[in-house]
Amino acid sequence: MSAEKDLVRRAKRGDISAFEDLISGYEKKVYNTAYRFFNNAEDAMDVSQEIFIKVFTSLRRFREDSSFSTWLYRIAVNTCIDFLRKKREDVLPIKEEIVMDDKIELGFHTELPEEFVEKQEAKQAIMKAISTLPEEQRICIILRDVQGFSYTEISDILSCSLGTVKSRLFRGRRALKENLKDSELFSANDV
Amino acid sequence: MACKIYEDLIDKYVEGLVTAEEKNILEEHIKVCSDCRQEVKELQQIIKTAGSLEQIELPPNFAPNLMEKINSIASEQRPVDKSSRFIRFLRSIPAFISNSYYYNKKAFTAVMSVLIIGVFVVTLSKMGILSMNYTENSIKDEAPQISAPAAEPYEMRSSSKMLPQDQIEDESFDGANELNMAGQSLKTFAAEERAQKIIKNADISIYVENFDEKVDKIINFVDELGGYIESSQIEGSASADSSRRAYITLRIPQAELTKALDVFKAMGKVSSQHIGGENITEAYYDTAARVRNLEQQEQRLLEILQMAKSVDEVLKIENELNRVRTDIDTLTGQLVAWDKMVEMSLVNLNLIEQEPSKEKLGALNLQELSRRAKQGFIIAINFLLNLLASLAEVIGALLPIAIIAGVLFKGIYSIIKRFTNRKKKSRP
Repeated sequence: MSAEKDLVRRAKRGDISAFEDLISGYEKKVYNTAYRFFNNAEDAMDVSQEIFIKVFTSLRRFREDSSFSTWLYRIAVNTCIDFLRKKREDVLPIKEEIVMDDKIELGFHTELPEEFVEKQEAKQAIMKAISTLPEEQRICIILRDVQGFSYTEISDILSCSLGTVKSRLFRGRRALKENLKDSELFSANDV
Repeated sequence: MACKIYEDLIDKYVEGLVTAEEKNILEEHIKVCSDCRQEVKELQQIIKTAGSLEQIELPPNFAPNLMEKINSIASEQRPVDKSSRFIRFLRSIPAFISNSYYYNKKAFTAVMSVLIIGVFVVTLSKMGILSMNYTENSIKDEAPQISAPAAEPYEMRSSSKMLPQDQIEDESFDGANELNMAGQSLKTFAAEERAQKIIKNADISIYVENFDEKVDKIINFVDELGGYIESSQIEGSASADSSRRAYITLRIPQAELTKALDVFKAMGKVSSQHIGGENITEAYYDTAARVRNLEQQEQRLLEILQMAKSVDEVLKIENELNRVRTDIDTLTGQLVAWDKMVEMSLVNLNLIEQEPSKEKLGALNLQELSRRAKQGFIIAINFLLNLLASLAEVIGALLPIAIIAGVLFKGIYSIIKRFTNRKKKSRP
């Protein structure tokens, strides 16, 4: 029996410290997935807490027919999408987020300052573009291109075929490209 | 825009998933086609940038916040959650009923009366046997291997697969020798060869009254069955308001597992139960065959050792012998451990103390009254839930019939209508 299975079993019995151990390896990745999905730290925090609470309350229903990580990411993805839909329903005043989390620390980089700034701008642009994609494409792009999951893992997590994953990625990347046409991303390289 | 026929290839190419041949084809193409070259470049740029996004550190209060919430959820017992969901469900019923009533009064009345009769019949017929059947079924569902008869012919696949044909005879002879030592005949050896090896274990949580008495009873009972207690731990004190809990890990002979679980379940209210079975038959006999193989090898090495002439040769053979013996020891140890696990099932028993219900007569006891009211309420809700479950069942069962009946009815109705119309026409 693998260590993780053992933890799952203990957590199912209500052992909270086992649950804590069990999720400790996933917290950061789930948080990052949510962060890229919403491009906003506040939502990422709320959603990822909600995700782990859901994992905790529905652990008893986890039948262990897939790996724990696949099951966990499935919950993560569904929760992100639900949260997004709920958020759209609540009519909120539009709040422009000024994202300044990538601090520009010039001293620590080997690149020229101009290049570094350009790269940071490209990252900001792509983050923003990703967070405006339709949700299905967005989640595929985040899992594949940002978090580096394999095609089969993604198709397991989303419970859809490999072909669907491929076509969502295909459309997602084209949409990103279209979105970023006028941004720094390409202008810096295409001369 | 890129050329249509190259789109797929471009996607594979930018992810590095192309074959060498495909790579050549595309690279030739983008030399001449500037659109596709642009497309490849831009996609590569996107993937590269997306991949270079850093992993953001968790906010420092992430884990503490989360665990605080989880602890508070864990301490709130489940019933709260269930009832709120239940109430939400109840709220939605009147709207549903009035809506459907509004649309078609006659059909609604007919459907409802059929449903109500059906539900009552099903519920009443089930209430009696439901509780007994349920536990049996759940055991079978969760571990189908358990109920499979052990007498099912098990081919000696594992041993014959491992050995060349000419050795099989030797092998069974060896095996027989082994067991003869243990005072068993060749026949029982064959029977044992077929036996399924299944590790069974169970987790069970029970609410009990008279906590101490029950714990003693369990300890005695386990002794009686020939099992033993691996560990036991009791939390909380007898005087405290909060209930005590006992975590007992038991080993019980597999043959007695069902009986033991029945006894445990009869002690109180079961809050959760899990029975699992892991079939290790294949692995077990594979290992057994490997042990026999190695023993033969050991025998042969001993023979060779007799023939050795130089010290060098002796040392080499003894080295080899040593290796074989270590392997035998490890594998035999594994077999013994497996035997133990198969023979003695692991049971994690979790007892939770419950206040004994005090029966008082005479003076009106408000607490008692409210407790009974609560109990009555719970019983009623359980009955309603049962009713709803049966309702779902009846709807499911009636649906196909209703569809066929509907189609037939429509058909017959239109035929009759046409017929009467014709009659009307023929004698106006």
